[in-house]
Amino acid sequence: MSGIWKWINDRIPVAKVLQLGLDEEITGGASYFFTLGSATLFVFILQMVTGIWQLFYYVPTIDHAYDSLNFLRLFVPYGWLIHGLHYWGATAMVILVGLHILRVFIWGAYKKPRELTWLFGVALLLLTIALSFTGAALPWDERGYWATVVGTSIAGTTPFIGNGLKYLLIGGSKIGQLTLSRFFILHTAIIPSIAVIMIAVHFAAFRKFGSAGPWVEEKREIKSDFWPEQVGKDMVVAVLLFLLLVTLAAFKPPPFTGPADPLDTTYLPKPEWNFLFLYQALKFFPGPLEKLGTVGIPALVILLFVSLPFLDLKPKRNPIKRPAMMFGGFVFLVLLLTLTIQGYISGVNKSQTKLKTTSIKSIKLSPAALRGKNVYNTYGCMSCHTISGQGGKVGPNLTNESQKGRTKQWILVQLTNPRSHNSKSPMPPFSMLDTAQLVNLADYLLSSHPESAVNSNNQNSANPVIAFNSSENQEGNLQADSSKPADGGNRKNATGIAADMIGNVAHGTILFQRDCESCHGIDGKGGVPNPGSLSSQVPSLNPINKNLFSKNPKTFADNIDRIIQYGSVPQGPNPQLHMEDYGDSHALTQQEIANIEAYILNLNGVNRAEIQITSFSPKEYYIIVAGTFVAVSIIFVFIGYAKKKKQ
Amino acid sequence: MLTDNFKQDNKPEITRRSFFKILSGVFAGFIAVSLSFPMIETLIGTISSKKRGSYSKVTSLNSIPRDEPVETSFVMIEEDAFIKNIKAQEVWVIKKSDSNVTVFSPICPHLGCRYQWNNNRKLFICPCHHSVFNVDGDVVSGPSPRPLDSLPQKIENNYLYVIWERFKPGIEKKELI
Repeated sequence: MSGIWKWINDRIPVAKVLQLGLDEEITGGASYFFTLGSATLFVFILQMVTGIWQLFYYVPTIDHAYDSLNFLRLFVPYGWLIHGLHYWGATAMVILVGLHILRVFIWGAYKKPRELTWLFGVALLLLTIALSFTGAALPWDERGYWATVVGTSIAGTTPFIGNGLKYLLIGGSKIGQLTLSRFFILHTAIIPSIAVIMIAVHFAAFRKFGSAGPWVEEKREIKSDFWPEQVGKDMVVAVLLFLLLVTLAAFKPPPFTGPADPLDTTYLPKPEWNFLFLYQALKFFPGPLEKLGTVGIPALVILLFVSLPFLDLKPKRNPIKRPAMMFGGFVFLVLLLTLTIQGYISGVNKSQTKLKTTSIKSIKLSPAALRGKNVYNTYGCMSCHTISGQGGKVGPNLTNESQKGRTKQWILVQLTNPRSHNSKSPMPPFSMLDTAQLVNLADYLLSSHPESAVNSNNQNSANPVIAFNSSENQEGNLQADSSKPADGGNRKNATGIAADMIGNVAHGTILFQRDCESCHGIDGKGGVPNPGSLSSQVPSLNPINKNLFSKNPKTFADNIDRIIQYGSVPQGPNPQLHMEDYGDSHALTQQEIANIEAYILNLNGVNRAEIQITSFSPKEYYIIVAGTFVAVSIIFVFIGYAKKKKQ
Repeated sequence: MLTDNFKQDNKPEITRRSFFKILSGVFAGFIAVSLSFPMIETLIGTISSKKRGSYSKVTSLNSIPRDEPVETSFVMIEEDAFIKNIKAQEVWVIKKSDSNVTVFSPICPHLGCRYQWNNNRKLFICPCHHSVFNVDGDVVSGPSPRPLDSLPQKIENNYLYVIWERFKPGIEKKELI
């Protein structure tokens, strides 16, 4: 062995390089306090390895990024582990960098001659944040997409250069493929390369002056070697971190937030946890003061960090003798944590109210009005008009149209030619609707609506009562399907794509309540009458017809996807209700259909995002890894104990 | 200094230093093994998995005449890992009744040519090597080693759905490619 070692070292200086890295005296002795830097480095290396591995599967295109990542997570053995480690590793990186900086701050280790080491550390903190921001966009899911929208908008508020900066970041005026490409190259090549160089410089500077050590003189007398004593402690921390990340990856997988859908108005954008403080702080800067928050706060924080070693010039390092500094740091930390927690809580509340308000039940709608409601929902009327307290404020509130004395004819004219009633009306003419749709929509608008969502949430409306009136006009004939070309083969490109997307259950719930519940019942439990159909009821989805059910999520999704995409007419002499072709008619986007499918699967106890691999399951892998670790640790504890006893 | 370390380690007794060395080595090895095994699996595990396709909507049965083979084109989604391609495909559909339909792959089981229906003789005839099949797909004459390949199909709401599959040509057994 030593022969080969010598042979190698005669040719390349491996031993010297190792010596440079390992041969150092630790002032004050090895300590777990000093493991934070190496722990950060360990996670950074883990991020590089898992990041590169993800690239075997991930593609940075807006039409395939989400599917490719989910393919890795669900269909590739251990894909869940690789992605889970990277996801949680990113969180760990931010926390570790923060703790490392805090440790250096308390120890006063940024003082002369270590100012530059500190500055490179601050630069590395900024790079970590940049990695976290650019990385979040890459899955191109709802969360990543909207975080990018918000993040780049914030960058756009920078004085003077804001617009240019935003334009440069997103690759034009619209967030899309070029944005993803830019974020991808920043995240996988440019920022990591800069980080590696900075880490090398940071490390070299650290080696030059060594660790600052304890501030108490007596303690500084104790010395121990970096290798192997500090490295041993570093490794203990690294292995514990690794186990923590494996645990999180196995039992707390990153959420499937659904594919990015720019048309979606129901998603509440919320930044990553590490930006929550800024998100919350911005709420204190309304209107024209906004720039002060979006640019001012980050700029001020960075300025504070950068100038710290030049503000605090006295050599003393004992925290007790630096009360002003310690107080300042404490206030900063409390502020940061409070804002983060506030930001976290405020978001949760909002999404809950969202869920509540969408659970409005329609009361006593005729079948024609029900179809009209469908038209209302699918053609985006809601984005400008409000009914029952729900919808946009651009156009007038439409809750009480019949009480305003409107006639069907008036509404029909308004829909097809809005300017005939008001020459300045910004409402677009809905000439793409056919007569039946227009009449149905008018029926819906003239029906009575509850004043608000809250009012309608009484006992009576808990179950939708749908009054059927056989004399109702039948212009919107339910057999419309037969008028479609018999050849079902002529399909538009997008159809069927949804069945392969992993949708988000919570989001699907909202969409289901909006578009499906009026016919399929609350929670899809059915019970809604459908006169003229063979079963005289709209099929229940909870539980679903056993011919459609499958334990395999993909098969299950495929089975129901066909019906949602192409629609279906129930068997029977003259069914009053039928399933619309939500995909073919583009009434729902493929992303929305994917979310609804995830919800329907969930109603039937099937997880759309179930891991489909034959290899070890996350739980099995965890048991093996954790078990081995425990066994090894017991041996080490035993040896350590025996050694102590001998002494 | 490193050389000093090596000297100290030569003592048979486990010193504090060598304890940390072993600890570091074992933990590093533990992480490396726990990670490298899944990483290798990640790369080799997906290669062998063969997935069955899903049903594609082909046509309304109303448009298919009874007892007469019709070559019907439809659009299917072809899967390649996470990429889905829309692809036109053809199948022969023979409707015996509204609930009894046979679907044949248009590929001759002999050597993979496209065969045709001869309406006068009521036979499927492959132009390449003259394999001849009857309306049920059975071999009447010619070199084909097996009958025409039927495809999995189902009927829902009077619409025909088919799973597109390909089989190895030239062998007696119907075997998926």
